[in-house]
Amino acid sequence: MKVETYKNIKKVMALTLAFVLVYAFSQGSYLLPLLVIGLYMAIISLLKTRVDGVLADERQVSVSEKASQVSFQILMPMLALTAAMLYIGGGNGEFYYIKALGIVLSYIVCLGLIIYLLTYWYFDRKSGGRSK
Amino acid sequence: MIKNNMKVLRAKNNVTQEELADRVGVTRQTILAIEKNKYSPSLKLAFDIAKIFNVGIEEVFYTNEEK
Repeated sequence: MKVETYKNIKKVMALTLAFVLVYAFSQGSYLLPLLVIGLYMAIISLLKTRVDGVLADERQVSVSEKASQVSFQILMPMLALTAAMLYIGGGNGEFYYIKALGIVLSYIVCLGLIIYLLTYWYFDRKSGGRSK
Repeated sequence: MIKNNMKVLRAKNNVTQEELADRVGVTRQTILAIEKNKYSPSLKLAFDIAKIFNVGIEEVFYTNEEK
């Protein structure tokens, strides 16, 4: 299969998936999305093995890594700042939920940092870091 | 930044960007980016490219100080 064909099939499948997800959630079904997402991932993995050509070479991987890094560097401080503002600004009375939202956001920031540290540790070790 | 003689070597060997990209397993955009010195290839890719032209890696890639 050519790379272009694969990309076109992927676009059509993503659109179909989006429609099915919207329909499923509007009907209150939560099993259907799980099934459809699983099926989507399985089909995409199968199609990838049948592609003749390069799907993502080292330059594209490098670009993707840089984009992820910049996104993380922008998103995390923004979330942390928002969490702090909501926590400080939110009171205990009528707007108690604002403070709660701040706490939830700060936990999300912590989770993001933990995931970053864990993946950093994993790839550092994989690349020979801290080896004796 | 690592520079290169890829364009000259391609012309000498009559190889297009598309053909070179196919033979080393990258996209044509990557070959273009390397030729324009906008992307430094990995060591493996650099060796693969040199192998295609049947020359040493130092004949394809060089740093500013070398020339």
